[in-house]
Amino acid sequence: MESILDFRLPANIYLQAAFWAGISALGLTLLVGLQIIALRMSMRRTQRREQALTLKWRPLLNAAIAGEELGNLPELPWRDRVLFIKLWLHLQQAVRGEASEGLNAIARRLGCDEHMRKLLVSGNRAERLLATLALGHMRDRESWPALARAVHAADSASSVHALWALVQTDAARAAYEMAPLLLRRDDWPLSQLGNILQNARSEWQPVLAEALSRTSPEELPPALRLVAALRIDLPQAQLQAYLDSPHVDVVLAALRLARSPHVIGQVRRHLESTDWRIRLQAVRALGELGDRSDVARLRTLLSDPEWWVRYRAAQALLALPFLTEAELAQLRDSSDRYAADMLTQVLAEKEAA
Amino acid sequence: MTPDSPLVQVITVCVLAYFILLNGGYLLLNFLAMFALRRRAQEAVLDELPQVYSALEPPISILVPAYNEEATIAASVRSMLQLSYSEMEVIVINDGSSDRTLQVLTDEFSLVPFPEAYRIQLETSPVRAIYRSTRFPNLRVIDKANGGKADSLNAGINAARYPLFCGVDADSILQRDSLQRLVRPFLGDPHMVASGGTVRIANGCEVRGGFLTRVGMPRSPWALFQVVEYLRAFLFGRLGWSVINGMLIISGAFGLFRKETVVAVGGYTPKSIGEDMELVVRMHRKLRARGIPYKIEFVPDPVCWTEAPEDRKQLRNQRIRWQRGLSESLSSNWGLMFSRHGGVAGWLAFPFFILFEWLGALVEMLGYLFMAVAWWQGWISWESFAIFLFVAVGLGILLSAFGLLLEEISFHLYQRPGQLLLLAAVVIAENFGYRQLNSWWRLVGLYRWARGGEAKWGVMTRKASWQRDIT
Amino acid sequence: MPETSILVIEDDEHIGQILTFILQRQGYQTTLAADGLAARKAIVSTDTPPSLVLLDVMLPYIDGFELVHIIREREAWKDVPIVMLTAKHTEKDIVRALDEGANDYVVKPFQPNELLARVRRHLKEQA
Repeated sequence: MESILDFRLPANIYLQAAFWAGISALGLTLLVGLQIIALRMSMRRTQRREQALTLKWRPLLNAAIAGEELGNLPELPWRDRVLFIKLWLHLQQAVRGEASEGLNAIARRLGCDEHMRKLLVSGNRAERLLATLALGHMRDRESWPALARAVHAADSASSVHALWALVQTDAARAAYEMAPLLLRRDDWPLSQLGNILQNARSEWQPVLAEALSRTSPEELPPALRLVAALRIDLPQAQLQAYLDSPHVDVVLAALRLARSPHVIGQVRRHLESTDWRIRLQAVRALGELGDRSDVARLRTLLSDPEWWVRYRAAQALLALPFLTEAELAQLRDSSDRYAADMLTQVLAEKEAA
Repeated sequence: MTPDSPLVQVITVCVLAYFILLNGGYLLLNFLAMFALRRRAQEAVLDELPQVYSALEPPISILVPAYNEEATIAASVRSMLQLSYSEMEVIVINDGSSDRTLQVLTDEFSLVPFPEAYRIQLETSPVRAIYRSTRFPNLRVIDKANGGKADSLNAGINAARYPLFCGVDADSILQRDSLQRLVRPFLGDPHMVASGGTVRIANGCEVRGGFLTRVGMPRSPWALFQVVEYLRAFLFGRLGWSVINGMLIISGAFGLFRKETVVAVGGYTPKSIGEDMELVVRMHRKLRARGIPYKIEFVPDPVCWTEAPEDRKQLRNQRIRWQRGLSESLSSNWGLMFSRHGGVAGWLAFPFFILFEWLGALVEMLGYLFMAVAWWQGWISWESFAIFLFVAVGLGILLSAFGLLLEEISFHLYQRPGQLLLLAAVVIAENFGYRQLNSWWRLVGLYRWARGGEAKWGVMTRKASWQRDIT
Repeated sequence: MPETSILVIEDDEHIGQILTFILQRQGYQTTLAADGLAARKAIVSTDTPPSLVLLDVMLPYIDGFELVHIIREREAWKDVPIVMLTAKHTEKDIVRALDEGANDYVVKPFQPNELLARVRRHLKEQA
């Protein structure tokens, strides 16, 4: 057996290549190891700085929340600014009203608004998100153009939070400028939009209705579905027009919006639709709008071939406030097997809730 | 054969090329994963803020198939009920347990019979009864004849009321925000049909009331190897595939699906061993064949934890089972391979799995065998053999180290320096025996599948002792 | 005036500090519990209850609703006013909170002055 010092690289070029591949693998592994250690150390440093910053500034921020007048503020060095804003944001998300204004005042005194405006345009993606959130809380009108541009960006998270910032700053103006865009985008999470609009419904409702009326027929169904999911109310005439539309998708979405008694005639007509989804939505709407005369109609639908239609019909019947227990029991006993089963199930569900 | 004959040279080069391609492929996937992690990190500021709900998140039905889980089912279900989510229902499916699982559920949750108008969209073995809980209005229990996990999930799908369903293992340990994290891909993308994560090793961690409270490292060497293995292969490898929409596996331990899509492709295949993978591969195949735009995304966050086998026998059985499941999933979906509209799934992911995951065990073992024999017989010089070992082990170590780096960048669960050192040692040690042993087990699994033997699940003794109950 | 003590149960560290700050500023004595288990320990370990409990719904290990249940089961704590603090504002949770035995409900993000006013009112009613 030769000793290891006699190692000779084989003449075969592939084996040589493999050898060097192995060497570089080892080298890279070493680099990776060093990188891990470097990351750890930098994370530790950041954690310590964060703790020090929290100890120094949290009492002052809490005082601002409580509405106290703050005298001299300590110096906020440049490199601590981002950490400060993170802490500030966390507190901003927890409070509202005067407390929020107190936090805004202290941020402005420290020049954070200026800093955030710079980050909004020239920072990396994470910094831009941070700046967007901060400027939204500060209701910073000066950043309006930059934020408006961000709303049109392709990136889902950045754009939807820019919209949030605009709505915080000036809900009416945001509605006017952004409503059509809202109806077109399908990558903004519904829960996020719900958050954004919850305090701005009065400003957005009329503008969205108007934007909806100007939407093209192809884009109408998803836009209408969005409006329905957000529980925006449409003007009666507009809703009635949609309910009479020949397009199935438009009718489906419009039925979700049917909440007022004016449209009950159209809703009743849709109970006889050949499309089971329309029957389903009509039944659901009737549960909220129906009167005594609808009991018979809903009862027919208890025997519908589609499971979901039967289910919602049973729920609708139970939701009608004027049916007594005896009447319900009689309904159950005199219907066919499918209807009876469904009624029994829904009764049990109601009991459980 | 003579030393350095052309045949020997060719085979040697082939073997080396295989190892380089295998590890190189994984390295590439890890790079892709890094992009996804970078994007996540940029949005980290949003995660740290106190969450505000608006009740517009899609409602979810959680399906929990259970077979002989009397020791742990109560704690499991209770923790699922405590998941923070705006609207969800929990459906436990008792798959004909022979122990007291149903009784434990009845007592713990005050179950009463529920007259459900059961709707059969997917065929399953007979359902005996359906119960609801009087204490928790959103909990139902289905009692059915034994039919396997896939069958139970299908029964759960039949009873599920909501558009999304989440398949969870009864022994999965979740965190309160697990569901919120898993649903995220669905929020911003209407084409999303499935999202899943991978499980993390719960051995050595502190678990209370069914939730993970403190991350720790396992003591058992087998579990330690698995920790590194999961980081290297199951976590960032899959994240890489997800970036290019080629993810073929969603762990059955915690996965979220669009119910309508799953029913349309036929639900889970009963009697399948790897039903979780088989469903996903079938979804790729059928959706691509029909030209329906879709997306399946991987959520890398540590949201689901499970107990890993700590002794050789259990681990061996698990890996054999996995390989059989893999074989089944691939073989019943050949249509995806190089199919016309196959996309990344059909042209990259499927072939990759065939070559490196499925046949991989065979090639690896034959490779090792050949090189060892060739050296012993003097067909190749000892330098060649050394280079082979060098490359095989060296690349393996690099890959494991890279997995460790990605973990450090993204989640840094193991924060103490001692843990890091231990992991580093395991990263090296893993390649001197564990990986090879794994390949051997996978080869056995492949052989068993090819022979068509009966599936042996093996009984994994559930260690209820470390699941400390809070009462 | 006897010492008015308030038990604050909130898992978010920063929010817990805000609450402690504004309550102490009003002259109340505060105890802070950062999760469900610590809260339960604070509840079962003493027979002298605080004057008021301020309680977050989303807590690790034991959620707020269960804690209300635990509080109301203790004889000495039966009449202690409970104000719940939560990020969710769906009707279901409001109803559930009040059904379980809470006295009042404040939605996050909260207005500190409003919170203090409610606390004052419940303390006055109690006295």
